[in-house]
Amino acid sequence: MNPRMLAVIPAFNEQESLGAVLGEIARVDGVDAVVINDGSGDATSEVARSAGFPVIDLPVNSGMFCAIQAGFRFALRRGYNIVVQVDADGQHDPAGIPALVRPIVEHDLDVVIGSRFLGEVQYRMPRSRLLGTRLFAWITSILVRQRITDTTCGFRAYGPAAIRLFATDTSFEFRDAVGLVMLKRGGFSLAEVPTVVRPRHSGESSISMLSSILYPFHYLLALAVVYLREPVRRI
Amino acid sequence: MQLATKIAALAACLVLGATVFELVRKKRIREEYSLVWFAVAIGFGGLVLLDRLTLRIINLMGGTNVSSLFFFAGTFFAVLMLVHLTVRISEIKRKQNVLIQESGLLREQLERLSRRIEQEAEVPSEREQ
Repeated sequence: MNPRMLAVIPAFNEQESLGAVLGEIARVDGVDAVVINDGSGDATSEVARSAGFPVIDLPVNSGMFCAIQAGFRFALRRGYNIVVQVDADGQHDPAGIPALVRPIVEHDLDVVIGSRFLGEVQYRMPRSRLLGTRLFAWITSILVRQRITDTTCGFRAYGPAAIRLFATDTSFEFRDAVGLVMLKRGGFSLAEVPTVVRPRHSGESSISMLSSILYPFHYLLALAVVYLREPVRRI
Repeated sequence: MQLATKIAALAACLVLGATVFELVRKKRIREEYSLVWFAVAIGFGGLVLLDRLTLRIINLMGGTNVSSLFFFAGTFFAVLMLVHLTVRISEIKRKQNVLIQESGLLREQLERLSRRIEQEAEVPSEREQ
């Protein structure tokens, strides 16, 4: 595969950290980037433009998946065959992109997930969240019949078939563990590579207390729906 | 059913039908969604007018008074409407996301094309100088 790589960076009120992230991406060879400004009320869009990157300004805040999907549509139309999802808060180290995309370039895999729990583990999270993350990873591993250690890390790379699917299927949100189970059911190949996730440069996480409480229920319901629906198809 | 109750129930059905008709006339409800409300107004009006038939239905269901049938039918209809509205909202949300994405993508494309046109316009003027 002759890789044409695009880093998709969804951003909501990330004017403080976005500049540094874009600076790091510019230092990675062969990777273009697009910023999806998800209806920010600050200067997120201006920061990206002044750094010379294309910006897709969503007119209203529409949520993480809507923003990412806009990036997949952009990638499909501009002929990119690898998409890397990178957070705008500086938690993902763009220097890890070559290692993340290697399984796609060399082995034609469909999706590669950066795992915070493989290799030398440096990431610290509250015990309750760690327990939940481990539990979801364990359930997901059973369902996809493959060892998955981190289902919620957003640092991921997608190959051409996954890009086509994510850019065109608007019927479901392919996120986290449920997205992985759905992809595996549809015959997509998955892999994990170790990654380092850093503390946020600035700002606050968009994960609220309420969404943390509701997440397990949403996860279990969405998993049940995955098995009641027709599997997704490679396009 | 007592006459006063009958009149009140029929008046409620008439008010519902007239309100929905007015909302359709003012284009605040689409015709396709108004049909179900007209059906409710006519259906409940029918149950009030044919109160002997209504009472037989209630007896078949193990009830003893007319109001229990109205309460049951009303609750059932309200739940059905909520499910219907949830389906519609989900569909609208999905379409809204597509429109939001397309709007952002088109704006980016427009900016890119505008920049290119500006650059191409600048090149000949530099040559002329």
